Amino acid sequence: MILMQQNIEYMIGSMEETVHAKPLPVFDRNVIELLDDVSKEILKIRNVREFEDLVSIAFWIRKASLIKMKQQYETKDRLGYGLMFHITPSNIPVQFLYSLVVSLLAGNANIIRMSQKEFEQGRIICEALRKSLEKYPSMLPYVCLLRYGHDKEITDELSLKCDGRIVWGGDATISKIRESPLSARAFELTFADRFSLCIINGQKYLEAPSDTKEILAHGFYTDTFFSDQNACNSPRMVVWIGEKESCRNAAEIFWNLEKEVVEQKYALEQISGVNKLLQECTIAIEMDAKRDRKNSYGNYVNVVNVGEVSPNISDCKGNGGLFFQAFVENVRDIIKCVQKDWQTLSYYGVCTTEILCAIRETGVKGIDRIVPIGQSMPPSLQWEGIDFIYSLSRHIHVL
Amino acid sequence: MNDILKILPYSLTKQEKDRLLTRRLRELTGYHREHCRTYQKILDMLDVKEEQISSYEELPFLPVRLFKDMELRSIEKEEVFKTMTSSGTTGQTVSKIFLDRQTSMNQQKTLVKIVSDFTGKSRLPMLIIDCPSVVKNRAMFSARGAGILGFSILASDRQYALDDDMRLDLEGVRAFLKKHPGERILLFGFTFMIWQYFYKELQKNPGCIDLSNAVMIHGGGWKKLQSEAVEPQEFKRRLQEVCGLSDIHDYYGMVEQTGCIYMQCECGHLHASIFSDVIMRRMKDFSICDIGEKGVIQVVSLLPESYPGHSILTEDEGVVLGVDDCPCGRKGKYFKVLGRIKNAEIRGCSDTYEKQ
Repeated sequence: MILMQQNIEYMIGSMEETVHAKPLPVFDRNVIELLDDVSKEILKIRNVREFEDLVSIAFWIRKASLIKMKQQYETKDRLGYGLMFHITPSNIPVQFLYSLVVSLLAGNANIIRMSQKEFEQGRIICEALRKSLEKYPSMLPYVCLLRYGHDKEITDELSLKCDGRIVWGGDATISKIRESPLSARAFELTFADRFSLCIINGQKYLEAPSDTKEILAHGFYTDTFFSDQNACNSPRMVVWIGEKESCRNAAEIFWNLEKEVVEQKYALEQISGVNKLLQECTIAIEMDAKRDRKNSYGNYVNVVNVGEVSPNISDCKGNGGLFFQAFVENVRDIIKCVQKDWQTLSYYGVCTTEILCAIRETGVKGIDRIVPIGQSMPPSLQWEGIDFIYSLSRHIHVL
Repeated sequence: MNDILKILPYSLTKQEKDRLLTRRLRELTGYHREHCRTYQKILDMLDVKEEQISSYEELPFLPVRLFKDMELRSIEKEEVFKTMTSSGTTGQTVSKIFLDRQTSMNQQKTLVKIVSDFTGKSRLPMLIIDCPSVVKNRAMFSARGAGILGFSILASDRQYALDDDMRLDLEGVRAFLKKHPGERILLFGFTFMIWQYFYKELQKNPGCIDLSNAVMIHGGGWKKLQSEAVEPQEFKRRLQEVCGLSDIHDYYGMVEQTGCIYMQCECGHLHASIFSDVIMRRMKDFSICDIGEKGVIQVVSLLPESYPGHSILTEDEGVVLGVDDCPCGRKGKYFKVLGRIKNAEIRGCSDTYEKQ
């Protein structure tokens, strides 16, 4: 290999072995055993409960859970494509594990470029993988985790070698990576920038018992602050549905409860305060916007009212706890504005049938997921309308 | 503004200065609201009504990076007299600050008033620790160039200490000193340049020039020197060692509020003059820090008329040490800058020049 090896930092495995690994059947027994062990290693860690995202994925890859998933697939005539090259994002700590898991289950060997940014979750996962791979040495060639800077030569080489490439966006990364061509038969999955939002029925929220409100505040925290709102499924906007007065009252209760949760759980970085002010100013210049209640929630939770829902609302990209808010009369007022890049709609007090109906009738291109508040994160083999097992494995057609 | 410029820079007590700042900054907020559409939109978003405000501390502040993303002007394009830019590294976007004649002149006057409080009224022969090429393009001033030109009007004579390849022109420096025997010399430059291209050269031949009767003013930040583990105290000590220089003043300032620099006094404290102020803010809710409490630095300045930069939130951390009671006798707030906040974009004048 002619690669500039000295510019690559290996966390796990080696490229030499991985490029020669043979495809496995989907849901291979060894893969399931390995992942089950990784799960155990992760859950063994003393302070693991601090990382909800990690716990959630660790439970997801336990043997029982994997076998259940397996039962939903026809596995006899399916094998992995071979070598997958993953570019994983810097803003979501457990994403690289998710990417690895789905690709392993589909039967592939994997080279994963991890972000340069260090996360505690990343460290825990690597440690667990290392220990488990020692126990399952036959799986060693299937996992290669590495880091390198923005070095096009390395990306070029890996892109030519692989049978498939997975790029976890955003848009800028995708176009950058696409400068490195794939071989003729290789394929690519890309996950571009998306916009997600949350809708709440104001009256229903007011009527909800206080412990429900409490659960919603924690659920909303998991959906948003947990990934600093950087995940594509994190709501950036909250839209209240119903009579204006009750919606306004509901919003005030909602944000004050949220603020309490955030103050307890979230470490606000100093730069975040500055960044949010900058984003607010930028939005104000582009559209009619006003701070909700003069920012009385402090800098942990920043809420900016944007008048009405409009198609260009997806330009409103807040991070680290900056939310845009609008008040509308009914679900249709929102759905008619949906754009192609809208992804997850999380809800409370709204009937999903009504949402689905509105989507079908208006024929909009966006919205791939409709989930209750607090459920926008759980891992799944399907993502953005793609089934990873089917997409990352080869089907042998037998007549 | 002309009346304000007559007041001595460190003569007002807190109460007097508060009154002055509140009156003028409220007026500037209203002025820019009328003359800058972008600024107006931001005020609307923040729901600010400046006429209801009782202290300048309640006025809004713009994040400093906004001047990079946007062109913020309160004058017509034709009235732009010069455009100042922060010196960003290649690929980095730079702040653009638009000046008309009036604002530019006020900046000059303010700078002279502040600096002469430290160097004395008369103009001094000035040795610039930089290279001549940095001020060549007069239409677009970088922070480095602006600093040099700004300070140059305090000079009775000028000499660049470095050539365009950043080599110390020892002959030139010696000739300049010979030309001004017995006179007090003003040395000006950016902290990192002084260390890298002046001190390190002199160190090879200590005592080759005598600057014991000189005063040095330097700014631009310490970030670059941190990697060499040079602390402010060490910086002073070592300079004294190689050329006898003992009167050294750091300053804090930024291109977004040129003129209103914060000079370091004999006690090692940075001082706010009556033309500007610093407010340390807590990031959890932008409330104001107590004296001695670390916070993010907001700067206000009475000068900006051509652009809405009279109140800015920087990305630096600092701490107010006291008000009106510095042993040096100067009134106003005195404070310390602690450096950039974590994960902030790297800025700074001398921080961007690196040897290839």
